[in-house]
Amino acid sequence: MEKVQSPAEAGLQEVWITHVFNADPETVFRAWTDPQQLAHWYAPDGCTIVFKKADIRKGGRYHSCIHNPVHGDCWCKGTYLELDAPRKLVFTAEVTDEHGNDVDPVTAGMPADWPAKTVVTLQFKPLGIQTEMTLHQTVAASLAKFTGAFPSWIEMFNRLNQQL
Amino acid sequence: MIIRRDVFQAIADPTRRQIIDLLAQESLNVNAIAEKFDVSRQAVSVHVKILAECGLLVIRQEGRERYCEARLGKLSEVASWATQYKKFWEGRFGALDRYLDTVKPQKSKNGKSTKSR
Repeated sequence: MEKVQSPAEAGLQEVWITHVFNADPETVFRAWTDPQQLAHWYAPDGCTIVFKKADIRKGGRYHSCIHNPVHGDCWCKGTYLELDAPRKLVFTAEVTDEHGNDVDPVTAGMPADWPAKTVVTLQFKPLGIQTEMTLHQTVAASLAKFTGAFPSWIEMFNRLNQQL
Repeated sequence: MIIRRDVFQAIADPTRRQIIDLLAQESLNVNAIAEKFDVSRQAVSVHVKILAECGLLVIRQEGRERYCEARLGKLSEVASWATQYKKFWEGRFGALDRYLDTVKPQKSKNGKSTKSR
Protein backbone atom coordinates (compact mmCIF):
# COMPACT_ATOMS: atom_id res chain seq x y z
CA MET A 1 0.00 0.00 0.00
CA GLU A 2 1.33 3.39 -0.90
CA LYS A 3 1.83 5.80 1.93
CA VAL A 4 0.56 9.30 1.32
CA GLN A 5 3.23 11.79 2.25
CA SER A 6 2.96 15.44 3.03
CA PRO A 7 5.28 17.66 0.96
CA ALA A 8 7.46 18.16 4.03
CA GLU A 9 7.80 14.40 4.48
CA ALA A 10 8.51 13.93 0.79
CA GLY A 11 11.20 16.59 1.02
CA LEU A 12 12.80 14.70 3.88
CA GLN A 13 12.95 11.63 1.67
CA GLU A 14 15.42 13.06 -0.79
CA VAL A 15 19.02 14.19 -0.59
CA TRP A 16 20.24 17.21 -2.51
CA ILE A 17 23.83 18.34 -1.97
CA THR A 18 26.04 20.63 -4.01
CA HIS A 19 29.79 20.62 -3.48
CA VAL A 20 32.67 22.34 -5.25
CA PHE A 21 35.77 20.25 -5.80
CA ASN A 22 39.24 21.61 -6.56
CA ALA A 23 39.73 19.66 -9.76
CA ASP A 24 38.32 19.59 -13.26
CA PRO A 25 35.21 17.48 -14.01
CA GLU A 26 37.30 14.77 -15.76
CA THR A 27 39.39 14.24 -12.63
CA VAL A 28 36.40 14.24 -10.29
CA PHE A 29 34.43 11.92 -12.57
CA ARG A 30 37.37 9.47 -12.66
CA ALA A 31 37.56 9.49 -8.86
CA TRP A 32 33.91 8.28 -8.85
CA THR A 33 34.32 5.65 -11.55
CA ASP A 34 37.70 4.03 -10.87
CA PRO A 35 37.47 1.37 -8.12
CA GLN A 36 41.11 1.92 -7.16
CA GLN A 37 40.48 5.63 -6.64
CA LEU A 38 37.18 4.98 -4.84
CA ALA A 39 39.09 2.85 -2.34
CA HIS A 40 41.06 5.98 -1.37
CA TRP A 41 38.11 8.06 -0.25
CA TYR A 42 34.71 6.35 -0.49
CA ALA A 43 34.77 4.51 2.85
CA PRO A 44 33.84 6.54 5.94
CA ASP A 45 36.75 7.66 8.13
CA GLY A 46 38.31 4.74 9.96
CA CYS A 47 36.64 2.24 7.61
CA THR A 48 37.87 0.44 4.53
CA ILE A 49 36.04 -0.44 1.34
CA VAL A 50 36.52 -3.54 -0.79
CA PHE A 51 34.84 -4.04 -4.15
CA LYS A 52 33.89 -7.67 -4.68
CA LYS A 53 32.64 -6.56 -8.06
CA ALA A 54 32.96 -3.23 -9.84
CA ASP A 55 31.79 -3.29 -13.43
CA ILE A 56 31.58 0.46 -13.88
CA ARG A 57 29.84 0.91 -17.21
CA LYS A 58 26.24 1.46 -18.24
CA GLY A 59 24.24 -1.53 -17.01
CA GLY A 60 27.25 -2.83 -15.06
CA ARG A 61 26.90 -3.88 -11.44
CA TYR A 62 28.94 -3.37 -8.32
CA HIS A 63 29.05 -5.17 -5.00
CA SER A 64 31.02 -3.56 -2.21
CA CYS A 65 31.69 -3.96 1.46
CA ILE A 66 32.48 -1.16 3.85
CA HIS A 67 34.30 -2.59 6.82
CA ASN A 68 33.88 -0.70 10.08
CA PRO A 69 36.25 -1.86 12.84
CA VAL A 70 33.53 -1.28 15.47
CA HIS A 71 30.25 -2.06 13.70
CA GLY A 72 31.45 -4.73 11.29
CA ASP A 73 30.71 -5.12 7.60
CA CYS A 74 28.13 -3.26 5.60
CA TRP A 75 27.41 -4.69 2.15
CA CYS A 76 26.03 -2.64 -0.70
CA LYS A 77 25.28 -3.43 -4.33
CA GLY A 78 23.84 -1.63 -7.29
CA THR A 79 23.70 -0.97 -11.00
CA TYR A 80 25.24 1.84 -13.02
CA LEU A 81 22.29 3.26 -14.93
CA GLU A 82 24.09 6.06 -16.73
CA LEU A 83 27.69 7.10 -17.36
CA ASP A 84 28.15 10.28 -19.31
CA ALA A 85 31.75 11.29 -18.64
CA PRO A 86 32.46 13.83 -17.30
CA ARG A 87 28.93 15.20 -16.89
CA LYS A 88 26.62 12.70 -15.30
CA LEU A 89 26.69 9.47 -13.32
CA VAL A 90 23.62 7.57 -12.12
CA PHE A 91 23.72 4.43 -10.00
CA THR A 92 21.54 2.54 -7.57
CA ALA A 93 22.47 1.69 -3.98
CA GLU A 94 20.84 -1.40 -2.51
CA VAL A 95 21.07 -3.05 0.88
CA THR A 96 22.60 -6.52 0.45
CA ASP A 97 24.76 -9.17 2.08
CA GLU A 98 28.07 -10.87 1.32
CA HIS A 99 26.44 -13.04 -1.36
CA GLY A 100 24.62 -10.20 -3.10
CA ASN A 101 21.14 -11.26 -1.95
CA ASP A 102 18.40 -8.69 -1.51
CA VAL A 103 18.19 -7.87 2.18
CA ASP A 104 15.31 -6.27 4.00
CA PRO A 105 16.72 -3.06 5.55
CA VAL A 106 15.10 -3.85 8.91
CA THR A 107 16.85 -7.24 8.96
CA ALA A 108 20.10 -5.38 8.35
CA GLY A 109 19.41 -3.26 11.43
CA MET A 110 18.10 -0.16 9.66
CA PRO A 111 15.04 1.81 10.79
CA ALA A 112 11.69 0.62 9.44
CA ASP A 113 11.39 3.41 6.87
CA TRP A 114 14.86 2.82 5.42
CA PRO A 115 14.55 2.22 1.65
CA ALA A 116 15.91 -1.04 0.22
CA LYS A 117 16.96 0.71 -2.95
CA THR A 118 17.88 4.30 -3.69
CA VAL A 119 19.06 6.01 -6.87
CA VAL A 120 22.01 8.40 -6.77
CA THR A 121 22.40 10.96 -9.56
CA LEU A 122 25.61 12.97 -9.81
CA GLN A 123 26.02 15.92 -12.12
CA PHE A 124 29.38 17.56 -12.73
CA LYS A 125 29.68 21.11 -14.04
CA PRO A 126 32.93 22.94 -14.76
CA LEU A 127 33.35 26.02 -12.59
CA GLY A 128 36.57 27.66 -13.75
CA ILE A 129 39.26 25.14 -12.86
CA GLN A 130 36.93 23.55 -10.33
CA THR A 131 33.90 21.28 -10.51
CA GLU A 132 30.49 21.90 -9.08
CA MET A 133 28.97 18.56 -8.33
CA THR A 134 25.31 18.05 -7.43
CA LEU A 135 24.20 14.86 -5.76
CA HIS A 136 20.56 13.86 -5.76
CA GLN A 137 19.50 10.70 -3.99
CA THR A 138 15.97 9.43 -3.91
CA VAL A 139 14.04 6.26 -3.23
CA ALA A 140 14.04 4.11 -6.36
CA ALA A 141 10.27 3.76 -6.36
CA SER A 142 9.65 7.51 -6.54
CA LEU A 143 12.20 7.87 -9.33
CA ALA A 144 10.52 5.08 -11.31
CA LYS A 145 7.27 6.99 -11.06
CA PHE A 146 9.05 10.12 -12.17
CA THR A 147 10.86 8.57 -15.13
CA GLY A 148 7.76 6.58 -16.00
CA ALA A 149 6.13 9.88 -16.83
CA PHE A 150 8.77 10.69 -19.42
CA PRO A 151 8.10 8.02 -22.06
CA SER A 152 4.45 9.03 -22.18
CA TRP A 153 5.45 12.67 -22.75
CA ILE A 154 7.80 11.61 -25.54
CA GLU A 155 5.06 9.55 -27.16
CA MET A 156 2.74 12.49 -26.93
CA PHE A 157 5.27 14.83 -28.55
CA ASN A 158 5.93 12.27 -31.29
CA ARG A 159 2.25 12.05 -32.06
CA LEU A 160 2.04 15.81 -32.00
CA ASN A 161 4.99 16.05 -34.44
CA GLN A 162 3.34 13.63 -36.81
CA GLN A 163 0.22 15.71 -36.81
CA LEU A 164 1.99 19.00 -37.48
CA MET B 1 24.76 -9.46 11.94
CA ILE B 2 25.43 -6.54 14.24
CA ILE B 3 22.76 -5.68 16.78
CA ARG B 4 22.23 -1.97 16.66
CA ARG B 5 21.51 -0.24 19.92
CA ASP B 6 20.84 3.33 19.02
CA VAL B 7 17.87 5.62 18.88
CA PHE B 8 17.00 4.46 15.35
CA GLN B 9 16.66 0.89 16.53
CA ALA B 10 14.63 2.12 19.49
CA ILE B 11 11.98 3.80 17.38
CA ALA B 12 11.95 1.22 14.57
CA ASP B 13 9.17 -0.67 16.33
CA PRO B 14 5.64 0.75 16.75
CA THR B 15 5.18 -0.77 20.23
CA ARG B 16 8.41 0.85 21.38
CA ARG B 17 7.26 4.19 19.99
CA GLN B 18 4.04 3.84 22.00
CA ILE B 19 5.98 2.91 25.14
CA ILE B 20 8.07 6.06 24.75
CA ASP B 21 4.87 8.11 24.33
CA LEU B 22 3.45 6.59 27.52
CA LEU B 23 6.60 7.13 29.55
CA ALA B 24 6.93 10.69 28.30
CA GLN B 25 3.80 11.44 30.37
CA GLU B 26 4.62 9.46 33.52
CA SER B 27 7.06 6.91 34.87
CA LEU B 28 5.56 3.42 34.96
CA ASN B 29 6.63 -0.04 36.02
CA VAL B 30 6.76 -2.83 33.46
CA ASN B 31 3.44 -4.34 34.59
CA ALA B 32 1.67 -1.02 34.19
CA ILE B 33 3.14 -0.64 30.70
CA ALA B 34 2.14 -4.20 29.78
CA GLU B 35 -1.47 -3.53 30.82
CA LYS B 36 -1.71 -0.91 28.11
CA PHE B 37 -0.77 -3.30 25.32
CA ASP B 38 -2.14 -6.47 23.79
CA VAL B 39 1.29 -8.08 23.88
CA SER B 40 2.69 -10.26 26.66
CA ARG B 41 4.52 -8.88 29.67
CA GLN B 42 7.63 -10.70 28.40
CA ALA B 43 7.41 -8.91 25.07
CA VAL B 44 7.05 -5.57 26.84
CA SER B 45 10.08 -6.45 29.01
CA VAL B 46 12.13 -7.05 25.86
CA HIS B 47 11.05 -3.69 24.42
CA VAL B 48 11.86 -1.96 27.71
CA LYS B 49 15.27 -3.61 27.76
CA ILE B 50 15.99 -2.47 24.19
CA LEU B 51 14.81 1.06 24.98
CA ALA B 52 17.10 1.11 28.03
CA GLU B 53 20.03 -0.16 25.97
CA CYS B 54 19.32 2.53 23.38
CA GLY B 55 19.42 5.18 26.11
CA LEU B 56 15.78 6.21 25.79
CA LEU B 57 14.77 5.18 29.28
CA VAL B 58 16.32 4.37 32.63
CA ILE B 59 15.03 1.77 35.06
CA ARG B 60 14.81 2.96 38.66
CA GLN B 61 14.39 0.48 41.50
CA GLU B 62 11.85 1.67 44.08
CA GLY B 63 11.20 -0.92 46.78
CA ARG B 64 10.04 -4.01 44.95
CA GLU B 65 9.02 -2.06 41.87
CA ARG B 66 11.16 -1.17 38.90
CA TYR B 67 10.04 2.08 37.34
CA CYS B 68 10.82 3.09 33.79
CA GLU B 69 11.62 6.74 33.22
CA ALA B 70 11.85 8.27 29.78
CA ARG B 71 15.04 9.97 28.64
CA LEU B 72 13.92 11.85 25.59
CA GLY B 73 17.05 13.83 24.78
CA LYS B 74 18.24 11.03 22.55
CA LEU B 75 15.22 11.42 20.30
CA SER B 76 16.73 14.53 18.77
CA GLU B 77 19.18 12.22 17.01
CA VAL B 78 16.32 10.81 15.00
CA ALA B 79 16.12 11.82 11.40
CA SER B 80 15.14 10.28 8.12
CA TRP B 81 17.37 8.04 6.00
CA ALA B 82 17.93 11.09 3.82
CA THR B 83 19.59 12.95 6.70
CA GLN B 84 21.77 9.93 7.43
CA TYR B 85 22.85 9.72 3.79
CA LYS B 86 23.46 13.46 3.72
CA LYS B 87 25.84 13.09 6.65
CA PHE B 88 27.50 10.17 4.87
CA TRP B 89 27.96 12.08 1.60
CA GLU B 90 29.22 15.25 3.27
CA GLY B 91 31.82 13.14 5.03
CA ARG B 92 32.72 11.47 1.73
CA PHE B 93 33.01 14.79 -0.09
CA GLY B 94 35.48 15.95 2.54
CA ALA B 95 37.48 12.77 1.96
CA LEU B 96 37.32 13.28 -1.82
CA ASP B 97 38.57 16.86 -1.34
CA ARG B 98 41.57 15.52 0.55
CA TYR B 99 42.12 12.77 -2.03
CA LEU B 100 41.94 15.23 -4.94
CA ASP B 101 44.56 17.36 -3.18
CA THR B 102 46.91 14.39 -3.29
CA VAL B 103 46.36 13.70 -7.00
CA LYS B 104 46.21 17.38 -7.99
CA PRO B 105 48.66 19.10 -5.64
CA GLN B 106 49.08 22.03 -8.04
CA LYS B 107 45.48 23.19 -7.60
CA SER B 108 44.62 26.05 -5.26
CA LYS B 109 42.74 25.32 -2.08
CA ASN B 110 40.25 28.15 -2.10
CA GLY B 111 36.57 28.01 -2.79
CA LYS B 112 35.65 24.68 -1.22
CA SER B 113 32.12 24.75 -0.08
CA THR B 114 29.24 22.45 0.55
CA LYS B 115 25.67 23.51 0.57
CA SER B 116 22.65 21.31 0.83
CA ARG B 117 18.95 21.56 0.89
